[in-house]
Amino acid sequence: MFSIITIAITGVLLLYLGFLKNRWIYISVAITGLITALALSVFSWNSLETSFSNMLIIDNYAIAFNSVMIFATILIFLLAPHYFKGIEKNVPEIYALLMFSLAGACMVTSFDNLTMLFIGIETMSIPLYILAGSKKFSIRSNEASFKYFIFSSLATAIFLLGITLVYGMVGSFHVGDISNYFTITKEIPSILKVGIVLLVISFGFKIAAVPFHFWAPDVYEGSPTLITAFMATVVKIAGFAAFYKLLSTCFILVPDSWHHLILGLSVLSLIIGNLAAIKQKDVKRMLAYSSISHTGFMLFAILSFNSFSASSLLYYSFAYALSTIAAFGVLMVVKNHMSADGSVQAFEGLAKKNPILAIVMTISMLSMAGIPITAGFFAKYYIFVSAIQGGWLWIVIIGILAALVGVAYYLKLIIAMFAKTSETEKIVTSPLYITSLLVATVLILIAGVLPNLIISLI
Amino acid sequence: MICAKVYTPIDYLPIMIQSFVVLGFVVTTMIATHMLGPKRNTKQKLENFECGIEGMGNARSPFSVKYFVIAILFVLFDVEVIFLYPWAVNFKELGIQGFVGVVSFSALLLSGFGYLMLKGAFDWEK
Repeated sequence: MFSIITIAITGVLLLYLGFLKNRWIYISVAITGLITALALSVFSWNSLETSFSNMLIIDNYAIAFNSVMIFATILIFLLAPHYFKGIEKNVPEIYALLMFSLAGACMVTSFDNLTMLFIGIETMSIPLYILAGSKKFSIRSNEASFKYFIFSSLATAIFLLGITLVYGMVGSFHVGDISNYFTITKEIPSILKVGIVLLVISFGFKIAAVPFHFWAPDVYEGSPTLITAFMATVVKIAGFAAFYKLLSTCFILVPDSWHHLILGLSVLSLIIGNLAAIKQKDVKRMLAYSSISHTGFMLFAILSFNSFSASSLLYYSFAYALSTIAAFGVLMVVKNHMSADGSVQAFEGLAKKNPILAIVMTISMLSMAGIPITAGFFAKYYIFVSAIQGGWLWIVIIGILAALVGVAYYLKLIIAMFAKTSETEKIVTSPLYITSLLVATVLILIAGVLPNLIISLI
Repeated sequence: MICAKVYTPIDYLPIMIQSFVVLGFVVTTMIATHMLGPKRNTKQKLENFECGIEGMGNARSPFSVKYFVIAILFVLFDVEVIFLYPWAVNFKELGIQGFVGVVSFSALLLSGFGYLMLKGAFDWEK
């Protein structure tokens, strides 16, 4: 609870510090605030806390996901000063909005009441509509903002209708009451099932699962890359944590209703996400489709509820966040350097121009593809184990095939960096920027070697 | 808080009748006025913005968003009163906790107001 308050107050503080017009003051305040929030979050481990008359429940599950999200945001903020170099206007506002969005994301993971879930999702999404369009004079950024707004508000409307139908049948917004209802009632009215389907659809929008993924490539491509990194990591993890918690606490006892939906979403995301990613020329679009295929993998955890699936989802989120931030971090400099061209050709010869960036990118791509000794390997391994324990062997086979297809397009980038050469000058970055990328890379390797550190948490 | 009563679709019949009546009224009036009313179309009447003065220029010219900013800020701070009213009605029951809640809420809103002042959102000349 206090970590959410710290994040929100830091956001307000940043708005005022913007008037000082000194970018080092507000970036240091932002990072201090985030580190404080992370510490407050970690130190409340094992102390179950409910607040706002049982609207929020901060248990170990919520703390683990919140810590991952806050940590990812710290890495993104470390990238920010270099990304916004030369841009003076409205930068503190962008930082503040990122903070508010993070506060919403932390609320989403720790809801104990469906109205709180709704408020959290809105607090998370509304700043993002603005952030997606924060490159004010770029037409693609405006398109991204508008598209995200339309799709997201449609998803919100569907979500509200779903909550309404559930409330109409159960008579309570409270998570405990909803799960009690299913232990008492044997014959579930069809209108309640419609409500559950609507909730699943709206979450499908939020986490960009096929067939509700159409907004994702355009929005990811059009938004400023820093914001895309935030959207692809924090927002997606928050969506998954909430989705998992909603289905596992409220609707786990509903027989044979939403399992088929999740199965369909997962298989379609794996196939379409990977096949579409192969065809992409623009790296940002490719990462967007790869993020859709990762959605497919993460849905395995929701498909197979057992004692293992929550921790495998946490581990996957952590590995995915680190490799995505590293990949987008490298993309940001390459893109700025090569004058707004984010195609695979821009990466040619990166190993000569800046070996550190090339190594960071390689490790993050290997982690996304799931090659051993990176975190991505154990992420996929655990999520497959959890699915096999749940009795979904055939979907694991599809998952492995999809992962093999994925290797193709991740390797395309690595080959471009190492095997090809080009005639351009060196790429320079700031020390803070490199620190963030190296921290992410080292953590990918540490988490890949010692997966027990995270997998045994929850 | 669990309702034991199971609702069947027949319980929603009044709502269905209501929606048919609403829809039927709108459709009937629209069709009826279309059929009954006299039609005397002239060139002036069919213009987009007929107001007695001849239209000129292009509608797609840029215009100042000052009015819009002021209007949206007015709505934003006006809505605050909605939250204050129920608190004022239940002032005694909510006690010190309610008071602290409302004060922190107002403080957050005021800090937003201060930010707007410093940013120059109310500066009409700017």
